[in-house]
Amino acid sequence: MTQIFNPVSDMIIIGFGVFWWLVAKDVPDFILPEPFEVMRELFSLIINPDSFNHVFVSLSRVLGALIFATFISISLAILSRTSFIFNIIIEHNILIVLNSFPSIGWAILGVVWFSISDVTVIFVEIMIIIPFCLINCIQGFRQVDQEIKEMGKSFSRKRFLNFFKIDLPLALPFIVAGIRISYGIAWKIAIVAELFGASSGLGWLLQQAQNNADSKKVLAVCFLIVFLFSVVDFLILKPIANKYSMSLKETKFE
Amino acid sequence: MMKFSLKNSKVIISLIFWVFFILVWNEYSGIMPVYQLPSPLLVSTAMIKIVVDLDLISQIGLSLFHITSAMFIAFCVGVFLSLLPIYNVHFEHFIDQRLTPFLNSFSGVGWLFIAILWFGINSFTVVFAVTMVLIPFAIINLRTGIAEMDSDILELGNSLTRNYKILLLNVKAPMLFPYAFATLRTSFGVSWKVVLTAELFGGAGGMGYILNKSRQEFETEMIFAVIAFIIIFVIIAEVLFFSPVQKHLDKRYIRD
Repeated sequence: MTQIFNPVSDMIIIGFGVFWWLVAKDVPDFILPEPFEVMRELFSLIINPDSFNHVFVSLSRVLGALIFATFISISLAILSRTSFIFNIIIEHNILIVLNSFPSIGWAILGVVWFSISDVTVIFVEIMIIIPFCLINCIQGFRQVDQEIKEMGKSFSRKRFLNFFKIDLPLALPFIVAGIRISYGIAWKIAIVAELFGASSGLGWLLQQAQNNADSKKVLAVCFLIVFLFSVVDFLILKPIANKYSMSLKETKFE
Repeated sequence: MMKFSLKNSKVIISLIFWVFFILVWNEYSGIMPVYQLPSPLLVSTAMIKIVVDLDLISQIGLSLFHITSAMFIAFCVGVFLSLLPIYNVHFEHFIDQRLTPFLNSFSGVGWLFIAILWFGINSFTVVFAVTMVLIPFAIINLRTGIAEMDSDILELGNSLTRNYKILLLNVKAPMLFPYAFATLRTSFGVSWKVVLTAELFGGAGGMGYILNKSRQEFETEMIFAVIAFIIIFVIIAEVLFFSPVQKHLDKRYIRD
């Protein structure tokens, strides 16, 4: 059970805040702004319609890329289960190469191929998060109990029906875990796409702030990203992950 | 015999796939502008240039230095932070519920820009940014290792001696070896993903610097060559070093 408040943790955080304030007092603003200034900037990012537009654009891109990446990963994972040749090509070649591909490489190539646009950002984010999603999808479909699959086949020979009633529900806990990891990676690493391929979004805002040596805004955008990640993860992704892992446990116990 | 033929067929299928991929790439590059898609021949020429050019080789060395330094520092910080709750249980909630989720969701680009503002454009900035990205991976792996320690073996060790040093060196540390190595393995994979970004914005050298120079001069074949070089290097390190060592450690130290 996650404990929301803890006296020791809260004291450490408050202590850190005080230490930050004491250091920031004697240091120029562009190096380390005071914590209250950063909080004020963070607040203005949320309430200012212009800034909020950047938040909305980034969130839409991340969620859009996540949906596409999940769809592509599930399709590739299914394809890899259909034959030995596809399995070797997808799992032992495509996945390994995508997993070793540097994220900045996708960002530069995205701009070279599609110039600066929303498509570029979404393409780059998809390419960065696909390996994380694909690993889990392949693992999920591999873990499907063969006896349950056989039982499904004895009820119906329709592949479509068997897939949606047996394979997919049993692989879902792994797919959802993959989506959770990918969502984190999208905010942590894939935001680099907006540094090159966009003129809007939080990545772009971060770069503008850095160009202007506005460390207040750099820190505020970073905290906003932490906030956005935590809120969506806590309110949407974690409950979904818990729900599917619970349903899997129930299936196993029956 | 069966295993041998299965391995052989894997290699043959992979080879056919990559030959087919290069042929399609070659054909498609014929109808595309060179700055958008250079031919495989141009890219391989650029790769040879990287290997024979001493300056470019030194840039690869600098990137490797950035990565190994960041991995070492992140590992040390990770060990310290993950062991802290063992010595003082009050830190457990702070490390597991506050610090790790916070560091884990903090943007890598954010750390990089903060480092540029604090330290300027140099190697220290690159190492700092990569280290900050790696630290949560180290904490998560090592904390999992500590949580998964076999309590029966710990109890057995306690019944044989109460000497803390002997217990740590002969019982606890060996049980943590697979997780410590997994930490280095994950760090190596992740650091290649982020070090180029850090070098491109915050470094005065390294492969990220070559990438940036090539981008500004529209030398797309060099961009492809750098990417191909990294992919080959990471795969070779994984196949020849990390994967066999991890298998050996798991077999030697993890109980089923």
